[in-house]
Amino acid sequence: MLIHTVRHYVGDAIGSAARPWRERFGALIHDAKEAGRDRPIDALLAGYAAGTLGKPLHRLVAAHLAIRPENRRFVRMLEETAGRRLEDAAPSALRDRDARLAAIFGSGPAPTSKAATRSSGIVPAPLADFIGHDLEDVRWRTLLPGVREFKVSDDMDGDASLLWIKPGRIMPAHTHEGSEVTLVLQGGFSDSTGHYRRGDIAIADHEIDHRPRADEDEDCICFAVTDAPLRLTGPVGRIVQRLFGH
Amino acid sequence: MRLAFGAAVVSAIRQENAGLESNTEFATLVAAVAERRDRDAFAHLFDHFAPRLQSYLVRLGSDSGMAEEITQDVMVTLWRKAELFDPAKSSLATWLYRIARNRRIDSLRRDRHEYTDDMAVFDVDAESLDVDGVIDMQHREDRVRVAMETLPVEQLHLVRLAFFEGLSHSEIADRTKLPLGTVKSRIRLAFTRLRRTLEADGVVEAG
Repeated sequence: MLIHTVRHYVGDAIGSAARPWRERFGALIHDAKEAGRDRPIDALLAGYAAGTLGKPLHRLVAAHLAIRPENRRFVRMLEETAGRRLEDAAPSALRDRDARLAAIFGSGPAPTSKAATRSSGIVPAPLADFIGHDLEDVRWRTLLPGVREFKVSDDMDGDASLLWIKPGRIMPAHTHEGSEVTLVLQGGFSDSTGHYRRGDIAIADHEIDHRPRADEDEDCICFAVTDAPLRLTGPVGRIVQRLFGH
Repeated sequence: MRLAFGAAVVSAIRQENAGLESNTEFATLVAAVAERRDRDAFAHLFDHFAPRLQSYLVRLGSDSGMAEEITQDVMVTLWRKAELFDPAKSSLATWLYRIARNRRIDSLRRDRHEYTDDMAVFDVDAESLDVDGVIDMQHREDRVRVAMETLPVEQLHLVRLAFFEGLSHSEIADRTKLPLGTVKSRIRLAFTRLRRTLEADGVVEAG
């Protein structure tokens, strides 16, 4: 889907990584040009499967998978691998086994899903649940003529926004320290890395000249997350970093 | 009768711990829960998976209290929504893994007041294997392992840390003493390579 050629990775690929791999597995090898290309989306999908993304990014990828089929099998295969790891995990002793079972048997019926009823045609369920609003109820803030924003969250898990861009508008040039990951929900836009339409994910590292221009024919609505460079994964010692704005 | 059936299942599970047979038996137990809220069947599933979920979550960095809470949530979901599990589409371990993963991400910020519906994600992914039929789980998992083994050693190491240990890129940089940019680029290259190997294998759609 999205092919990003990121120049500064080429040296690493050809210099250290590609060569032994090529020698050992010739049949599987793509040409040298291909070896210098990575697609950030594959690592993003793997992060989703592994559960290492922050909540906003996790939901962004879930929404992408909901809209578009092409990455589902890859994700599912990685999840099966993770599931096998769970199956192979050494069981740890459970406290209060009987009480816990009793609590489960005594639990009431499942609450009905709000997300399912809330998801609209544009915003898939995993994202509707995260945003917490119907699109019509969103309190947009005008950033500049033709560009409106709604900040969904701004915390350690990532800075997440909905963006509404009028046809043909160019987003102001902006920089960010980490990656900005954008999911197109309606319409489309183009930047120096390509053209993106509904369901596509655009990944912009800070190196990328980032001046997205909305398509001419339709309002463009996107969900954008500036990712945390660091994940909080539990123990306090691992919670390290405050996010940057953009 | 039910107990005898359960004991036979448990015995089969012990003999064939991670194999396809146990997948079939798990599916039978889940069906018993879905169809008639069979408590014995559920107890067997609980005894098998809850201790594994607990240790898996701790390994991924949850403290034991949080791991217990998430494990319990996952088990409640299994009890209440067993009918949503489709053995043709994933193994039970994978289905539970995904519930635990999503619950863990939602609980990291402790915004528990917000009701999050794991099933929203399941509904989506339910279609994901309908494209060209079902590959058996054993086979599918092996392909990923084989594909991972084709990665250059320095990439494989980072992929393991990122994918199996659940470390962030920054944590990997700290641990390996590699620059963050190198960690990122290697991981990106590695997963793209993994993807292409699976594509070449014909088991994953070309992206």
